[in-house]
Formats: sequence, structure tokens, C-alpha cells
Amino acid sequence: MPQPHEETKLPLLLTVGGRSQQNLWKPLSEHVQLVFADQPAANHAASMGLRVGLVGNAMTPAMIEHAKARAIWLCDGVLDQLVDKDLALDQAMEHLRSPHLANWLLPMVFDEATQALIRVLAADTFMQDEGRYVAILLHEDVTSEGQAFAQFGRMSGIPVLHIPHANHFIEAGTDDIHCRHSSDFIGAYGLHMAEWYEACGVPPETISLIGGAQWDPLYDPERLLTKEHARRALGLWDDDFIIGYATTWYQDTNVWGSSDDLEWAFQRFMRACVKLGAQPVVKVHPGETDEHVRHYAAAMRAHRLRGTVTSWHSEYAILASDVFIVQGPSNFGVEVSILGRPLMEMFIPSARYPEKYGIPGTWGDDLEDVLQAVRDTTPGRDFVKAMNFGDDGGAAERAAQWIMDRAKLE
Amino acid sequence: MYSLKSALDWAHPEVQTKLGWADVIVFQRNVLFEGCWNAQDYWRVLGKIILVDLDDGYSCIPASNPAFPHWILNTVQLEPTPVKALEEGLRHADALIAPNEVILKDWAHVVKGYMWRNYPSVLDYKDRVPREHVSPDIDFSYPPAIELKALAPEDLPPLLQKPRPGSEGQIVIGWGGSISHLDSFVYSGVIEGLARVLTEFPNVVFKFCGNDERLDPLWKKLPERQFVRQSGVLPRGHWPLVVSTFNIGIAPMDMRLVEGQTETNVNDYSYDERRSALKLTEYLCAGVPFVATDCQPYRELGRFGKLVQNTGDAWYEALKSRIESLGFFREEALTNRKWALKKMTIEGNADRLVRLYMRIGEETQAKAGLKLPMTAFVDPKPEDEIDEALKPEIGPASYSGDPHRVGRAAYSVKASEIAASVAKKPWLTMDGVDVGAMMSYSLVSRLNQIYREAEQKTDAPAA
Repeated sequence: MPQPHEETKLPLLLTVGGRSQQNLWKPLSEHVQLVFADQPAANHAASMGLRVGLVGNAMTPAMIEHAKARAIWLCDGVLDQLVDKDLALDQAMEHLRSPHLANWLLPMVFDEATQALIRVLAADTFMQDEGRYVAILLHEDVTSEGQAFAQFGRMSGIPVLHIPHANHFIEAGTDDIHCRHSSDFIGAYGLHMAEWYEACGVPPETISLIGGAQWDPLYDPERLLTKEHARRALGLWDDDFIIGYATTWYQDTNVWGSSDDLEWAFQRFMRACVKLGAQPVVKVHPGETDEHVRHYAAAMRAHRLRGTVTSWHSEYAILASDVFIVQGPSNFGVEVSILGRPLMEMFIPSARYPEKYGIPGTWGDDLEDVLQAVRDTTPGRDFVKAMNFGDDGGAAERAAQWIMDRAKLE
Repeated sequence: MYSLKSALDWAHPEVQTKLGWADVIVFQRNVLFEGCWNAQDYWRVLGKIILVDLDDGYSCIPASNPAFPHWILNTVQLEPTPVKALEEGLRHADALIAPNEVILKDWAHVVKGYMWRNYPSVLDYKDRVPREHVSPDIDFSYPPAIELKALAPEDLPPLLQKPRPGSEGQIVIGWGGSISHLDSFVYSGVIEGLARVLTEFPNVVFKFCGNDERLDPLWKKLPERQFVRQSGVLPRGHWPLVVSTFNIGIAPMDMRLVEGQTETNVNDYSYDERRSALKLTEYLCAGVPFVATDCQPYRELGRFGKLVQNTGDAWYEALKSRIESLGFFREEALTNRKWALKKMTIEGNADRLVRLYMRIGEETQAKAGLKLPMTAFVDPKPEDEIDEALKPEIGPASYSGDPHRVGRAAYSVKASEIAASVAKKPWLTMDGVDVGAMMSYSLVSRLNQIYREAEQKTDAPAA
């Protein structure tokens, strides 16, 4: 079990974890001791044979009670504001306005404030060793955890390094919360990400191109499967036309239409498979549940389609497919492109791949035509390079060096 | 590492214990007997991954190769013949591993093949210092009457090292190899090229490290005083010492096409093109600039040196340019060496080899019909009842045009405003931390959710 600040003479690097950065942990551990803010990530790193620390281990029940007490005090303040009618709530919707308001807003604020304050206290314990920390590494800086450590780092003069775990495909510079930024430096996956953050107001001199370390394994020829193997492992037939489909999930931080739109698109995909005589392989988004898996499988059965639904095994799904559809632009499509499979996009509201890279897309009415046209194509390497700088499997090495440089370590 | 004999004796309790631990068993080359095939089958049935490792094009081995009588003339009277027996042996394996793509092609009709290079150990090379030509060349030998073959690298006796008289200032072009390379010298044009550069540059010598006396007539074409012989190829642990005395390494190959003599009919490569790239790898790890024949196995590493067509002129030009700019090529080779010691050694590739074995294991299991966990397989039967609700009628798409311009629902903006209003209060701070900013993400998300649900309730018909 990871301990806070195990005995080591190495300088400390705090990270909130994030599996997208796990390929960095080993090279970084040669120079720093990683201290995680996230228990599962710390356990995962420890299982890789790395000596790691854990910030949260220093939390005591008394500190958590203290956080709750402070949260109640903050909620009082919110209530005062409500009495002053300072909050612009929607009076048109019956379920939102007072007296229902107190039923949902205060518990919500209490809950969020408690979580945030616990994180502040956790971050505070890490600050006790402030002098030994050389950098804070984030994979996002918008949630309360990422925000807490970004703020502490900046208050303490510790460099806050952000390697975003995903490319964004919403319009840059909008009021979307992802356009906010709190770090000192950004290590961008590629030119697209760099330009996106620049458009959101990040000074270009603080952005470096490093590539996506999470994709390095996709460049390892010893790891990659043949199409034949991938199909057999997924129970698919060798000679059939296989169409892959990567689902997405309905998020409430951006408004991308509704969950009905996503179901419509999936049903449209089912019909395309029937018309084209294709077998579907559905890769379920990590944000979706087992219930979704069962639903997709049942829908396939209802359409009498032979195929596979998986929430894991991305590479198998991609390599087994003749063409892959992504529901909305996503990093998954970048993986499809790295592996050289034909890619197309089923549009969702508010986001899309940059048009200049020519990834074919449709709202769905002409899906069969687009699939046929895409089938024998390969996404341009310029798309891959823009999304994954270097396009060579060497991102972890570059990222580790980038971190060491900013942490001013040899 | 066990001898083949151990693997075959699978009923022996000690073999059971020792090989029983293995997940992967690699049979090297000689899977030519029924006893081998039985052993392969036995371990396979127990779930081991059985690989055969081939490092040569045995099916088309030329008459100049000392192994020709065994493989082609079948001097030991095997039934079936050795090449056919090898084919049968490969049928009892899960995969073939070879350091050469052409070998994999030769046997592709029998078994799936995987390329795996031959790598030296970083331990053997990391402390070697490539010789500068101003220093004396070294002649290596062992005390007499020692049977080296039987010794493990760590048990090798101390090597006797003697400076070669008059070698200071001499540029050494070197080569070392087994007794199977006669044709590589005869048919590559390298002798003609060497003869010309040695004649033109009296301070250059050619150092031959081998035991093949059939090559002796060829050496007579070189200026006698510029030919140096290092007896034999030293065992693994000491061989890098010899390579490090070269100022330029050469790797000639015979490019005469041969028929592969297997059912895949791979007929557009030579026998030598079924060799590994070990020589180039060793030159890289030793920091030795090299010139080699442009051939299939050398294409990938060729960029670190010079690949030439098999003509005397080409060899001459390439060697001459390296001699004339030795300083530049030495520096380049030293830079390449740093890369090679990381990337082209056993230690630098051990993890990759494990991953390759895992991949072969997974593929083997998939072939056997095993499927992935955490996956729903759908195979509907005609008699299955259909839930029509899961196959609803659908109309046309709800949207058209640029996705960036559609779909932004009103409540997103409202949710953001409320979240900002709640979060941006000055009293939402603690120890200097802006707690409001920390809460924004979750507040926006949850407010949006509440708005969405409220909207659905408002839209719903009254009960």
C-alpha cells in the first residue's frame, strides 16, 4: 500500500493520477518520487513496482469533520444570497423555483463544498513538505481536485504542469468550462491541442508539443494484433464486413443535444449494418455502464445482427474492423487513425473534428453511402500528427523530459 | 536454457518440474524427429506456448555451407528428409520466430511467423572503447589447450592481449564470422574493392577473424602485408573486444537469387538474405562505422552506415570515403552507439520480447476459440424472440449543417450563470484557495442535469 512520502531522498512530484499518464510514471520515477492524490492511481503505480506516496493517506476523520463543518458555514452564506434574491434562477420552470429551490440547491452546494474542502485540506497536508516538491502534474485542471492542486501550486511557486488527457473538439474560446485554465505550462498532445488552448487564452510560450504518451503502445509492432486474431478474439468472422462503432456519453458540462440523439445515432448505425450486411463491433465509452452494454447487445439481437459489444479491448475492436465510426469526435478516432483503419464521424451537436483534416462525417441520413466511400481509405497522417505530435510512439520519453526540464531536474 | 534432450525427456520428474514452470518454450532449430514433435505436443497440451526459432534458410542452404550435406543431401538418412521434417516440426508449434523476414515468408504456409532480431548484451559492449587508429591494434588469444566451446561466457579464461607490432596508425577494416560465408566474399565484389583501397592506402589493413581456410586463395588478391588474421571468432563475452579494434566493419552478402524450396515459393531473395542483421547490430553497439551489401536484412539498419550494390567499384568508393573521412564517420558511429546501446541490446528489448510472447499466446488462444472477457457476444438465432421496442422506427436526423453551430441548449448558459453566481462569492475561500472555482465544474454539471430533468418534467403531460 502506498504511504505518504515513503523514505526516499528523491525530490517529490505530485500528480493527481490519471491512467492517460501511466506510461510516464516509470521513466519519471527514476528522477522523482511520485506522490499521488488519487488512491486507485497510487495503487496502480505501486502494482507496477514503483515506490509512490499518497497525499490522501494523511487525512484523518477529524479533518473530514472539519471540512463538513466549514461546508455548512458556506451553505449558510449561499442561503443568505438566496434571501437577497441575488441568484438568477429560472422562474419559468416550476421545479426550479422556490420553495423547491431549497430542496435541491442547498444539499448540492453542501455536497460540492464538502468535497472541495476535503481536497483543500488534503492539498494542505501535502504542502507541509512543500520544499521537496519540484512540480505538480495534472491531466485536467477543471474539476475540484485539479483546481485545488493547481491553486496550491501557484500559491507556493511550484510549477503546475498540465498534460491534458484529451483533445477538445468543441469550439475554442467559448464559455465552456474546459476553456478555463489554471496551470503554468501545458504539454500538448499535438498542434490541434496547442492551438486550441492558445485560442482559449493560454500564452503560446507556455505550451509545448510532446505527443500523447497513452498512445505510445499503439506504435509497438510486437504488441499489435493481426486483423484475423482480433476478429477471432472478439468472436467475429474472418471474411465479413466489420463496422466498428465507438459510442459516446451524454455529459452535463457541455450540452451536446440530448441522450435521445445518441440513441438515434446508434439505431441508425444498426440499420446501416442490416442494409450493408455487416457485422457490428461496438466499443462502449468508459463513461457508460454495464446497462449500456446490455442495451447495445439487445439492440443488435433485435436487428438480428451477429456482433460484439465491449467496454474494454479498444485495440481489438479497431483492428478487427474494416471501417470505424466514432459517435462524435473523440480521442478514440485518433487511435483508429494511428492504427491505420478507415475512420468516419457520426456528428453530435457542438463538436467535430477540424474540417481541414477531411475526416468524413454525417448526421446519419446518408450513413451507408459514407461508409462505402470511406471503406478503402486511410485517415491522412497529417491528422494523426496534428493530434499526436511525433506520430512515433516516443511521447512518454518526450513528456518525461519536458517535465524534468520544467521541474529543473537533470 | 536447457538442451533439446531435456525437453524431449518430458516424463522425467526433474524435467516436469523445471519445464513445468515455463509459459513459453522455445525449440531451437532441430525439430526434426518424432521425439521432438511428441514433446512439442505434450507441452502444448499443457497450455504452454511452443515456439520454434530458426536463424537460417535451411531449405535453400547452398553447397558451400558446411551444413549442406546434412540439410540437403540428408547424409544422416532422415525419413522424412530434414527440410520436410522441419516443416512437420513447425506444424507442432504455435509460432515461428526468426531474425529475418524472408525466413518467415518461406514458412508462412505452415505456421505464423514473428520477426525477432538477434541482439547482443549491453554488458558485453558498454565498456568497450572503439580503437582509434593511432593506437596499436590488439591480437587476442587464449592460453593453449583450453576447450572454449564448453565454457559459459562468465567462465572464460583471461584473454591474452598482445599489441600487433607496427599497427599504430593503421586503419583496420575488419570482418568476423563463421565458416558459412565463403559465397559472401566470392560473389559480393568486396575482395576487388578491398584490393583497390588497400593498394591505394598503405596504412589500411584488412583483418579477417575466422577459421574458413577455403577463403585463403582470396586473400592472396590483397597486398600481403596489409592482411591480418585474428584466429577464430572469440566466444560471446570476448568477441566485442575484437569488434572494437575495427575502424571500419564490413558485411558482404551473396545476392544470387535462390529458390526458397518451400511451398510458399519465395524465389526473389538470396540465401544470404535469410541471415540476421547481427553484424550491423554489433558494429553499431561497438561504435564502428560500416559498409555492407544492400540486402533485405540490412535495410532497416543500413541508414546508420553505408549499403552498397555488389560491385567492386561500389565497395571501393564506400570504403575509400570512410577511410578519407574516418574522423567524421567515427564521431557519427559513436553517436549511433549511444542509441544502439539503449535500443539494440538484449536488455533494451527484454520487455518487448515478453510482450511478443504474450501476443503469441493470446493469438494462440484466440485460434483455439477462446474469446475475450468483459465482452458481450451476440449471435441471434432465427427462433429468438425479438423485442420490437429495441428496433424503433426512426425518422431523419434532427440536425444538419456544421455541428459547431447546432445543439447548444438554453439551459447550459443558465447553468453556467448560476454556477458562476454561486461560486464566485468572495466568502467561498479557504486558506487563500478559491473554493468557488473548485466547485464550478461539478456545479455546472449538476445544474445542467437538474435543468434538463426539470425541462423534461415541465414538458411532460400532466398526470
